[in-house]
Amino acid sequence: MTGATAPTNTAYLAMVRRGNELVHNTGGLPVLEVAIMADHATQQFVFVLKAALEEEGFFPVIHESDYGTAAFEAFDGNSDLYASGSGTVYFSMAMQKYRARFYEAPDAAVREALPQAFLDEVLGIIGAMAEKGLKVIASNLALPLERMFGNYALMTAQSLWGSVLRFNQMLAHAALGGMFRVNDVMYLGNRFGAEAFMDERLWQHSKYLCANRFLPDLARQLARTLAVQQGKVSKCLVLDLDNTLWGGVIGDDGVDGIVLGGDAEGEAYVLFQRYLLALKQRGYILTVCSKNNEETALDVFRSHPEMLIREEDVAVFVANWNDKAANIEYIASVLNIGLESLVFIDDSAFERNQVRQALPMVSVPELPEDVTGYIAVLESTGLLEATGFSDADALRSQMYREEAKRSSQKLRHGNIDDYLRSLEMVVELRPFQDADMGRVAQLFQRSNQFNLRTQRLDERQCRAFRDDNLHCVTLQARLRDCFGDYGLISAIACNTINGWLNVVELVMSCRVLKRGVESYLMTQLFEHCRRMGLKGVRGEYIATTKNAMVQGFYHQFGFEPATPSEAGDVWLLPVERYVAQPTFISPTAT
Amino acid sequence: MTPEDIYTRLQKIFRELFEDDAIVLTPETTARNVERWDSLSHVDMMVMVEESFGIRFSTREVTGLANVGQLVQAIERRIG
Repeated sequence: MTGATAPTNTAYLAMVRRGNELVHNTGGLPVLEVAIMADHATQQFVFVLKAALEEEGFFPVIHESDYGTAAFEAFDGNSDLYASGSGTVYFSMAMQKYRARFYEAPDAAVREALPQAFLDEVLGIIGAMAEKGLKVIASNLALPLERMFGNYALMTAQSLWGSVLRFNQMLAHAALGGMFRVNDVMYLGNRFGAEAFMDERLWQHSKYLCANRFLPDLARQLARTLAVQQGKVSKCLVLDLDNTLWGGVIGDDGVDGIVLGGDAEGEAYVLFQRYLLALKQRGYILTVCSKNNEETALDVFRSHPEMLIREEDVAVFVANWNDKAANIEYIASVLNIGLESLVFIDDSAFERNQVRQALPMVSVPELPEDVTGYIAVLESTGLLEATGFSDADALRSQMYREEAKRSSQKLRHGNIDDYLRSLEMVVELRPFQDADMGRVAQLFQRSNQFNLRTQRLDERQCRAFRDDNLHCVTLQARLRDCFGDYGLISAIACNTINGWLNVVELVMSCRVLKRGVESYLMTQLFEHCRRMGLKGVRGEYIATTKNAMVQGFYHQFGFEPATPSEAGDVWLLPVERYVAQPTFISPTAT
Repeated sequence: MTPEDIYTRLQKIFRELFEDDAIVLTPETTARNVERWDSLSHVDMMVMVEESFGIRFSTREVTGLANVGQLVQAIERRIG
């Protein structure tokens, strides 16, 4: 064991006891019902699984099928299995049972065909359950010790080793179809070693799949799969820097002094970074949370020749002296993901404990002292459990980055003005354009919150406003900043009433709130008043269930309330009383 | 390790595993004298004893020991 804690019977028994205690849902946890169907003994496993499900935040209700009756239960529509009401079945198969079938094969031909024949039986049972609407998780087989041919066993299904390998491969392939999921017992057995994992005495005495002390890992692996089915997926790694991504402390040791590449320890950090980049490619969001001066920390990313993770691989980069829990909350809010989908990776026990206490929903694996154990620990937690892989996963990290960059820039700057200035915002303001009329109408249709009158102007009405340029003013605004283009973000339609420029409708995308865009637009409206010789701007706020956000919109610019109309509040502000609020937005050259 | 030491440690394991602080082990103690000692918890007890003493019982010992006295003898044999 390089990193994860070695399994013990003491830990196993503690879980059995905990599982035993879980009789009443006193904590009011969401209930998770699972039926267990196995060709081996499962009594103790059930208690351990209960404890593992509680760790995942569920109150477990487990229905245990009678030992060895899987096929009957599955095919009998009136069986206890279907009566139990469980949505999910765990179908667990013992290699030792497969082994018996292997030995019973009367000749080489039957033996050769065993993996496929056994798979057909298994798929028949799984299919029957899936057809009745159950979600099925099937185990694969632990790898045996018996090779019988030495190294040649790998090449032939006439060896138990080769036969089990083939079956597992076929099972995984069948699972790709989506009918069921696999609990990879083979992986666990390999992780601990077959000689330790399987206890032949316990199999012969009580038909135990493996030595008891491995049941917690087996149960936790299954519990992770069940939790992920319930949507509890971790998505984002929050990485410390010093002694996590490299050895040493950058603030003390400098770029030339940290341990990264070069010697044995340095190469282990490089390997860890390669592993993290592979996680990024598989859809994990990488973020950084470090107690450092930002420039000092970034210097490693920019100028250390062995640094593999680049700035652009990191969706949110936070290096400051705030406490880490606060920074982690910030990271979650920037990415707009739940705290429960974050995994915090830090070599410092102090930081880990602070985060555990302040943010219990964040996953915080206990890292070993030595970097060579980091990967093993991360793997042993089961946090990387995924439901699948698609092209979208590979792009996810990139998707989050652009938006996160804007928000993280906000934290870097001491005050909001510096931040807004750094965005280098440019607004392109034009009357409604024919080419954009569809998008303009869509903005009117879809904006609910930043919408002053909710008039839902359609394309035809938009065009009519635009064409009546003697009495009407239309404005469409496109915004971009140093990180990218937001597209069309605001549309305004005005007419004139008694010498006032009257705002018939004003909507804005909520994505661009708090950037000064509304002030910029208001100034433009008053410019129009001056140019057209109008008295000022007349605005109206019509309340809906969703637009409370803009209730004080006119008031903030110094508008005075006038006699309310039938529909809502009316506000007036003469041209000479308007004071333009400063913004950090410049107009386009056009 | 004296037989007394073995009994002391075994008794601690038994009390914890079978959740009964009143358990007092003698060579004659059998599963019949301990309420929660059944075939299921028997395996838990045996592997716990193995872990505690750093030994490994044979299959016959796992399944065939008649009483605590025989268990202690088996432990003695293995720890030498």
